Amino acid sequence: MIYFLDNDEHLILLPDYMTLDLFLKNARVKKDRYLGRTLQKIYMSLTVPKIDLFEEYELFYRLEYDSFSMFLYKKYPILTDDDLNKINLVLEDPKYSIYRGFFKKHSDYNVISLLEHQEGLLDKVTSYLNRQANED
Amino acid sequence: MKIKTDFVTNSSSTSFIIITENGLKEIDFMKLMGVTEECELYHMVEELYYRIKNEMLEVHEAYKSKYYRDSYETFREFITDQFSDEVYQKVLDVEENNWTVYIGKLNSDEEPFISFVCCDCFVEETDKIYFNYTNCSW
Repeated sequence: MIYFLDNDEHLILLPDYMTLDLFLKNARVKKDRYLGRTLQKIYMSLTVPKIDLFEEYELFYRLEYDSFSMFLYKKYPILTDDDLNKINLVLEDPKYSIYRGFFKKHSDYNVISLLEHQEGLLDKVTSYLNRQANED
Repeated sequence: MKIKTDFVTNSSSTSFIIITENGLKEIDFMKLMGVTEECELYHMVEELYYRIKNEMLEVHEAYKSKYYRDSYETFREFITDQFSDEVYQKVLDVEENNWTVYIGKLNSDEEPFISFVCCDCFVEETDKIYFNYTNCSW
């Protein structure tokens, strides 16, 4: 799941097994060819750099908010109750973490525009970011 | 002074060169772009293929058109101005081997992926296709 925030940052849920190679394998593209390189740009924009939100909470906000859920609720009012429920459900799986990224701050304008406007691309990218190696 | 009040775009077009031995085939283009048959983004790249196929002209035929003939005095100038001396030399070399050179343009005011390619700058090559998109104005 990816949520774009008002401040040009984004929140992204990622499994700990996700790598660039697995992402490209899930997309079924050749890494050293044009579409592979285009998807690499998208992957890098979404995942590098990123801040682990739970670590950030533990380090700086634990005293202020009783729980991580409350931290998300107060800190990111753009998230609906439904979003928060989905995030909390995904985070029950210990393989998943939630990160704060900087997609629109650090990305090429054309990459942002492609991901925002190409029909279905964001859904497919989200799917590639969550598939395990043995899934079709 | 004219005032336009509705949606205003700032589109631009850029040229590409494609060199093939036997015309542009979809299977070869998809391989060139790194798309496998199982790829869910196949359709997105297929749209680009059809757009290119629709826009490309044999390079000498294109040069003979009034638009280009009025802009360039020689065929060499026609190629080097949009690409480079290296590309001009490549065109001469491949034509000696009976490969065909095509030229065309894509517009930035297109489907998002085509627009993305139009704003990009790259060269892709396999043993069957050479695709030069270095005429980038962005």
